[in-house]
Amino acid sequence: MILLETANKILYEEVIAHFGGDHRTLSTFADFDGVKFNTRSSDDKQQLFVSISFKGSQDLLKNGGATYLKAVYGAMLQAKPEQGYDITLVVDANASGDKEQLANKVANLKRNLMAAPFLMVFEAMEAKKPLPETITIDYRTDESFYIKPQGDNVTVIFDIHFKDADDVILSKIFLQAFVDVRKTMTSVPSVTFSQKDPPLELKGVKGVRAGVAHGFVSITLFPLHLKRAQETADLIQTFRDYLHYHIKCSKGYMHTSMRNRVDSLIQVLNRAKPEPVNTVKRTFKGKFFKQS
Amino acid sequence: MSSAQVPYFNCIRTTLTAALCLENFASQIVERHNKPEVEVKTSKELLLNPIVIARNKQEKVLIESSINSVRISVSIKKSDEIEVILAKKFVRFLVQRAENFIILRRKPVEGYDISFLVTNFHTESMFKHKLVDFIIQFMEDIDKEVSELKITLNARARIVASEYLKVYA
Repeated sequence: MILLETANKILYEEVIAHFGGDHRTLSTFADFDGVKFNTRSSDDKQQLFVSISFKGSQDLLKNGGATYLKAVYGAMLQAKPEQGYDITLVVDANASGDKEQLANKVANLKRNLMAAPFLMVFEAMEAKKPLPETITIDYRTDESFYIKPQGDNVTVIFDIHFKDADDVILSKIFLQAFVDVRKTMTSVPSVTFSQKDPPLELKGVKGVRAGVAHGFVSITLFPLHLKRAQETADLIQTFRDYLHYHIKCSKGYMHTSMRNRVDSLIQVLNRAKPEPVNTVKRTFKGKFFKQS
Repeated sequence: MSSAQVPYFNCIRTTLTAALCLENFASQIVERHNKPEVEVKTSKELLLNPIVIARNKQEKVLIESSINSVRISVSIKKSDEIEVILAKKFVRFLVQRAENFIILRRKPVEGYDISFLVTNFHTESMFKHKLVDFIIQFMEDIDKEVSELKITLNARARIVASEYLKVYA
C-alpha cells in the first residue's frame, strides 16, 4: 500500500451491510483531514443516512462541490444535512442497480467533495471558460490548499504545517526528493517547495500563513494531466496524507532499527560479565557435597 | 569502521585501559559512604586530570577519572540537521534503557551526548578489557546506525516520490 486509497473502507462496509437488509446502525468514524462520518439507519431499516462533517466543506461546496455532488449523487443528496454535519446522503436499501458500485460511490463521498474544485477548474480550462484567479480551500486548522490556473497549466499549492520541529526536517528530505526525482522523469507535474515563505504565486492572496513550521509545495499540472481529470484529482488530493503517511512510516522504521541496535549493544555489555562458576566437584562414584 | 577512525579508537582504547585502574575507596568526608568520587567531587586529591580525545570539533570523548570511578562522555558526529535528529533519537532510546546498560548514566555531561560511569564495583564484577571493548563498540555502532538510517531515509524518500509521480506520467 504505497499509494493511499480514496474510498473509506468502513463507510463502504456499512453501506454493503445496509443493502443486506435488517441492519441497524449508528456509528461515527473518521477519515483523513479531520473528516468525520456518521451513519444512521432509519427506524424501519429501509434508509441509511450518511453524513460528513469537514472543515473545508463550505469552501469546497462553493467552488464546484455543490454541482459536482449533485451530478454524482443526484436524488441521494438530502436537501438539508443532519444536525452538526455538512452533507447528508440517503441510501435506500432497495436501490436498483449494481449494489457494489453504489456502495463504492457512497464510500467516495469525501473524495468527490475534495475533487470537485479540481474537476471544475480542469473542465473550465478545457472549455476555455473564465476562472477565478485563485481558489482557496481552508481544509484543515492551520492548513489550506490553493488552486491557481496559469495559462494552460494549473498550479496547486499546499500549505503543509508541521507541529513537530523534527517533522519539518524530515519533510524537507521527502519534499526535496520529490523535486529531485521529478528531474529524472518525463511528463510528470513540476514540483517545487519552499519552507517558511509562501511562493510568488500566492502573492496578494489573503490569509496565507507563513512561518518556520509551514512548508509550501507547488505542483504544476500540465494539459496532459488535465485531460485525465479524475485520476489527477485522486492523486493530488491525497498528496498531503501520502506525505505524512510516509514520514510516519519512516519514523517507525527508525525506531525498529534503533531497538535492534540497542539489543545488540546490551549483548555486547553482557559479554563483559564473567560466567558464573558453578562447577560441582564430584567424587569418583559421582557423589557430591552441596555447599550452602 | 573506516580506516580514518582507527587511530581515534585506538587512542581511546589505550587511554581507557589505563584509566580503568580503580580500587574500592570509601568517602573521606562522610562516614560509611562509598560514592563515585568523580561525581561527588568532595576531595580534590582523589581526582585525576580529565582528558579530552578529539577527532574534530564534534567527535570527541571526555575521560574524567578518580580513585574509584571513571566517567566517560561521548560526543557524536552530527554533520547535518538530519543527523542531529537521528543522534538525539538514538541517545534517548539508550538512556531510557539505562538500567539494562548498568554503566550508562541517565543524564549526559554538559556539552556531550551520552555519558558512562564506571565504578570499582563494575570493574570487580566485569572483565575490564570487555568493558573497554563495549565502549569502543558502542561508539562505532552509533556512527554506523546514524549513517545507515540516513541512507535508508533518503532512499525511502526517493522511492516514495517516484511512486507518486509515476502515476501521473
